Amino acid sequence: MDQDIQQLLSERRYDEALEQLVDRYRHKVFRLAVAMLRDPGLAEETAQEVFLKIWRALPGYNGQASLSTWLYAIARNTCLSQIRYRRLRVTVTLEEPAARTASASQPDSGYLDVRRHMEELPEVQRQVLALFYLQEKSYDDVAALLDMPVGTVKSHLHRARRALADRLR
Amino acid sequence: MECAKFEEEMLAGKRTGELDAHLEGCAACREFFAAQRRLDRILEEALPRLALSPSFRPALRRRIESESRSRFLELVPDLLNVLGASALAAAAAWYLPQLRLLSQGLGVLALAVAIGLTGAGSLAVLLRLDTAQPDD
Repeated sequence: MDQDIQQLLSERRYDEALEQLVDRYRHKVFRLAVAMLRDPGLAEETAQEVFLKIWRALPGYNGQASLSTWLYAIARNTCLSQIRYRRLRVTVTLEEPAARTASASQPDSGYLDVRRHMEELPEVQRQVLALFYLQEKSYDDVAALLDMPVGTVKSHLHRARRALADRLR
Repeated sequence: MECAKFEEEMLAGKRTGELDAHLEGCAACREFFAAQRRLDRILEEALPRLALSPSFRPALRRRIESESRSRFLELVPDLLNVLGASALAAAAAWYLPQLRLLSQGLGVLALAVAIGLTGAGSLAVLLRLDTAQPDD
């Protein structure tokens, strides 16, 4: 899939390779950061940090893992470092509902309920659930981003949805 | 028992004729199914709205350029060392043969040292440039 980037790397054209990686992966990295950090502003900052690390590390990329696997590992580790560094508290801002609900005739209280209940889920279930919807319901993308088998993603997702459904009943 | 099976289908987002038939006659599953659809709708509407700001790429480029500059500046002392050593060796190579007391051979030797020093210094800088990638 990333043969063109691998080719650029083999020719030591690192800046061009980075441009391609940013083009291809910036949204996924950002969404992963949102799912893990729960704060879009911090997620964007972290996504920049991820690509800066990738730029520094590109000359040392040895091709043992696929580029996406390697890149997602850097992204996850950077997010985990952020979490450790900032000792994030529960301040979910998965989305700013104000703009959406302001124009609606009735505020959607379901959104707030879901958001609250999502915070009560185990961390891994919350991440899988958030990422699943951010990644347009792609099991494969969620599995790659979180480095989990697809079956495990499905299992976490089902548990999370069941728990939310029970709580919303 | 049957409800559990259909719950799995509903959680997996499957919609079959069998499920529809079951929903017709089971109020609990209808409620569960409605809750799942509502949940789906809320999450689908809420989450994909997130997007990177347009300044993401320019800001990243600025950070990379700034780091490239500082990396080059780190090499300046090394480059000055190489240039200094080369100039010194070249001066010696030019000056020593002028001295009558010393043989022409010494001048050639000095020239060889000058070339060697310059080559080694340049190689060291190139290697450092190549490996100066901070750890992830």
